[in-house]
Amino acid sequence: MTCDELKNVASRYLAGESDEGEALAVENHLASCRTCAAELATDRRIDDSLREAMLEDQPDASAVIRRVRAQMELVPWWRRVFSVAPLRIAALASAILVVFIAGRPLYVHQVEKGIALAAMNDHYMDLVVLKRTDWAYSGKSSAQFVQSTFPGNPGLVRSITPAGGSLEKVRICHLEKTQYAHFVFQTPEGEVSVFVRARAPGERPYQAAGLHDRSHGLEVAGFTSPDFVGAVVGHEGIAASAFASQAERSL
Amino acid sequence: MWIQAIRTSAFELTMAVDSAHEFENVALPHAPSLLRYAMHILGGSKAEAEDLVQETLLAAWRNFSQFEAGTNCKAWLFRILINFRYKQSRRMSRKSEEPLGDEEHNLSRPENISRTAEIRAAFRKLSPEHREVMELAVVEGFEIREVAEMLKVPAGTVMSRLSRARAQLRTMLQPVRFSGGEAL
Repeated sequence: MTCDELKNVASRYLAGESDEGEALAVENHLASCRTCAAELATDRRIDDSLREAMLEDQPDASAVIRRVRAQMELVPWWRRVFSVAPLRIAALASAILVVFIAGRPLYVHQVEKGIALAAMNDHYMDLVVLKRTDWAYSGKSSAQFVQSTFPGNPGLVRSITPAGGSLEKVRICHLEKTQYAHFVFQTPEGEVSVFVRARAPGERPYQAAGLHDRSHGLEVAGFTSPDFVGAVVGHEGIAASAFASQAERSL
Repeated sequence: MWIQAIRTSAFELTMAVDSAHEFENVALPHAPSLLRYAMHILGGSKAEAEDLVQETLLAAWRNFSQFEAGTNCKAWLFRILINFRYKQSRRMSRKSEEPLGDEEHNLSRPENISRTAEIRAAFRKLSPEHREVMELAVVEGFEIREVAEMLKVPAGTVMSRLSRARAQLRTMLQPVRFSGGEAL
């Protein structure tokens, strides 16, 4: 191992994450190179001192824990899976929801509201907060997924693709305990999520509920076609309602 | 049918209580580390850091079903906090990073004040990217792979940032205290 090679792996070695072979090569080099040995020893002392200096800060977290516990109690267990309270739209729960398509305020049934909120939460958690990387399907496998999940609907993706967008990835998710396919499209305005599931025989059409979360700059719009139910979520200004009505018309 | 519904509710309620208990045991103990990290990296007031930690823990609570038991909960929480922070900094107008306030952060014991102050002063001079990797990998003790996942960069990038950060700290600190193998 040369000095330059050691520099490349020194961080891993100092973290104790080198495998046996690498650790042995580092130690052999250190035994024969006083410069690297001194440098690594200095780094180790600096690390120790930095850790000690920073860990001396033991901020009192009791206030924040109290606040979190109080909020935990406020959130009913059955809402936890799909609640969007972190989006601070809890105030909307009892407020008038805006129906984009009709362009007028309307009280929306709890079911539609629940689906819309759950879709917004899923989009926010998967793409913004957790930035989930374990998408089940992306690239070519997306096409296979659509073929097997929605047989007989080869035009499904085309119908739900937002203008100027391209399919990026898809995974299965649950909104209000019902299974949906969560498609993510890249559009010039950012990532747009489209949640879709097949409509059950005899299932009533849903009110096209739309919601804004201004504090996080998100909007959602629902849609129902003869065969599908779904919702579109994206940044405020992506015209989720327009995409939703487009999907409703084309599906 | 009613009996079945009541049974189901009772079962789900039990699950909810267990889940809250688990969250208390597994996630909440990391609140001080999250708060310390938020205070160091945000360079803002304690109140701002507390808001960020509260937002993080509540998001974690509401999505606790997504946490895989047995994996590193602290790393999961830090990932959420970092993502919130990125989102926050994108949303807010580019507020320049304030240096760590000595008056608020310097909680050292008297005999260590000069050494600690020296380390802190050198640390503050690093770029935000370098401070971030040092804080996560060295101070909080996350694996390089975990830091890479949190920051959404390759592990090699984390290693090179660590290496550059250490080289800068060495240059800043070596002439005074870290040379010649002198024990600290």
